Amino acid sequence: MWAEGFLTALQPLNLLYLVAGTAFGMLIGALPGLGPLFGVALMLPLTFGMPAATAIIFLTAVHAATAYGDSFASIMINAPGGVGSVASCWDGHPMAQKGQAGVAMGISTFGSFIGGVAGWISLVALSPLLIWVAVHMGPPEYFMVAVMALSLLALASEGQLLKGLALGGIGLLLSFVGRDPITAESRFTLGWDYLEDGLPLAAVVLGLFALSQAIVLAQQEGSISQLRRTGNVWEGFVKVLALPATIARASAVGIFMGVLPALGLSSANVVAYFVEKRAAKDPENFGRGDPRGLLAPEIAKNACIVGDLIPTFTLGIPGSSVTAIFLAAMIMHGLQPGAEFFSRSGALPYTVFAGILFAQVSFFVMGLLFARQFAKAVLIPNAILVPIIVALSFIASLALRGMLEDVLVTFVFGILGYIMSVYRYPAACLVLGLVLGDLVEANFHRSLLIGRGSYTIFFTRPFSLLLLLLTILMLLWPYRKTLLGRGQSPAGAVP
Amino acid sequence: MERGKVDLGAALLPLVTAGFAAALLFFSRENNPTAALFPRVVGVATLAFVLLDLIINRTGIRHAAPPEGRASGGRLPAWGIPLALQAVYLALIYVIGFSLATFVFLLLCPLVLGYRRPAVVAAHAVLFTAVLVFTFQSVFHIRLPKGLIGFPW
Repeated sequence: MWAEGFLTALQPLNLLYLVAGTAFGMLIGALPGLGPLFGVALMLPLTFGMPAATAIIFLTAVHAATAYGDSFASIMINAPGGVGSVASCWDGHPMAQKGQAGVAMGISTFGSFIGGVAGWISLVALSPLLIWVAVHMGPPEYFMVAVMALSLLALASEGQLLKGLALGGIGLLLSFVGRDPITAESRFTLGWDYLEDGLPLAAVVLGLFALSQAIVLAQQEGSISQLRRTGNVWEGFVKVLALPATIARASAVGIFMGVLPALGLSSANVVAYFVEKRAAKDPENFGRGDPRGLLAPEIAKNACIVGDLIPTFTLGIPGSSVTAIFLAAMIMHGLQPGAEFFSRSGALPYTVFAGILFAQVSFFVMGLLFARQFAKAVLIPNAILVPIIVALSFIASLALRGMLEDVLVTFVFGILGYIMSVYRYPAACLVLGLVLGDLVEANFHRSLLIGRGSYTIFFTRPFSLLLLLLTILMLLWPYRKTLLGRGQSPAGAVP
Repeated sequence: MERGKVDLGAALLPLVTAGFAAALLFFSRENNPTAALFPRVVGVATLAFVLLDLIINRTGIRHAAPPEGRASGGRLPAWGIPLALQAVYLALIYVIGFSLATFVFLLLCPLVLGYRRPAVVAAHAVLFTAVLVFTFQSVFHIRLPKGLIGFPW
């Protein structure tokens, strides 16, 4: 079956669409704010006339390449290519500023490839186990996962714990704007219909990072890389190979976040970044162009998007909006997701799986060809680059929902992001709160509904209790020596 | 403790943060208990964090001068020019539509920021606007705002 699947995926028509999907995905990804959801949704109608396997392979190529291409804008101009590559800005862009744009592109290209392959291996080999875990996770467990992710706020605050917690709170409060996830009651919309669906994450992120960066760049003469050099892409490959622990950690985070429905791309990269920072012996180097700070989110992002496909193919449960489109594509082409997909479709599942692997190879090869050219963006004079960043940010905000109000949101958050960058407020905390708010609140209330109002539901379910204990352990870890009476707490530990 | 002029910029963010949290707390009284629970808990916690931060780090908002420089001799601070340009661009999109506004913005912004090669700026403005509008309008089928004047592209 596997050989047949690989041979079918290697047919010229499939390869042609694989390359076309990759090229298109990289183009979409390179535009700030436009991520995999935009790319895959845009391409879905084009698959009507294609054979089923070709259609899924094409969409997979678009999906993988868009996620990879998202990092271009993050690294070069500090404007997140999509919500899945916010964390790539934090160390990727400082590398570009230090004249290592090519190295950063190398790390991104190789890291994304490794993440994609790790996700693919999990899809092929670990599906049954991961699905078992996923089906045993209910609202209390999701709540605990979100709380665990929120515990990273302390780390995201970069030594300014109170400011970080306050900004995390603001992020959470912003995520509460719109309809309540349980009662559907409107909250904090001030009667404005636009806010009924909540604040658009992509527009907020574009403002916080891209527009604020445009204001910063406008005040500087010259170009992003004052050193007028970009470094070598291959150097990035070497750096990746020297970080096996980062690869393992980020792959695990990406796959885990991908498999669990609702924990998707937007949180995987941010969580992987902070998990890596927590594991580092020198966390103070993060945010200053540390290769680990770029590699971790890159791997997690691409592992997540493949991991995301596991529940979609095996259970027929889309883990995110993008995989919901995949589900639609499968049904549109007469495929039944779930167990029947494997039992009644012959070699087709294996063709699709082979296509997913080839999609990773395809963007990797194209990335190798073009990474160096993209890296040269850091040499463009700031006076020319600034209006490009602003125009791309505005059009990306517009493109997502076609609403001018989204551009206004981007503009307002641009001002906020700039003030935060000037006064060294950790904007990452706000993003973390905004990304996790809905997950925390909805699953808390769902848990209480299941537990008939009793809070014991969080402690009586084994997975939930395990996650709670892990969170407590993570919070106490920096103080272990003090608690055990063997020394001082670490200097960098928060009060 | 350092005593100096209060830096309005440094004071602004805690005020905005606290004000936003307080406003949401106030508006949460209109919601049912389920919908109001998390906003209230998070709102109170956020206010507490801001107040604690202000108490502990109150010297942080007192500086002899703001951390970012002002434009030398200019009326606007250095950050004011790009911010004003963005605001004008947004207003122009609303009035004359995305295509024309983008062209005008790409034409003016580099010159205002001190780039002194008008031919390059003009060519860049025309080409970039054309590529952007064509890509989003014809390839991605995104409806771009035509503005109050109803500009055809």
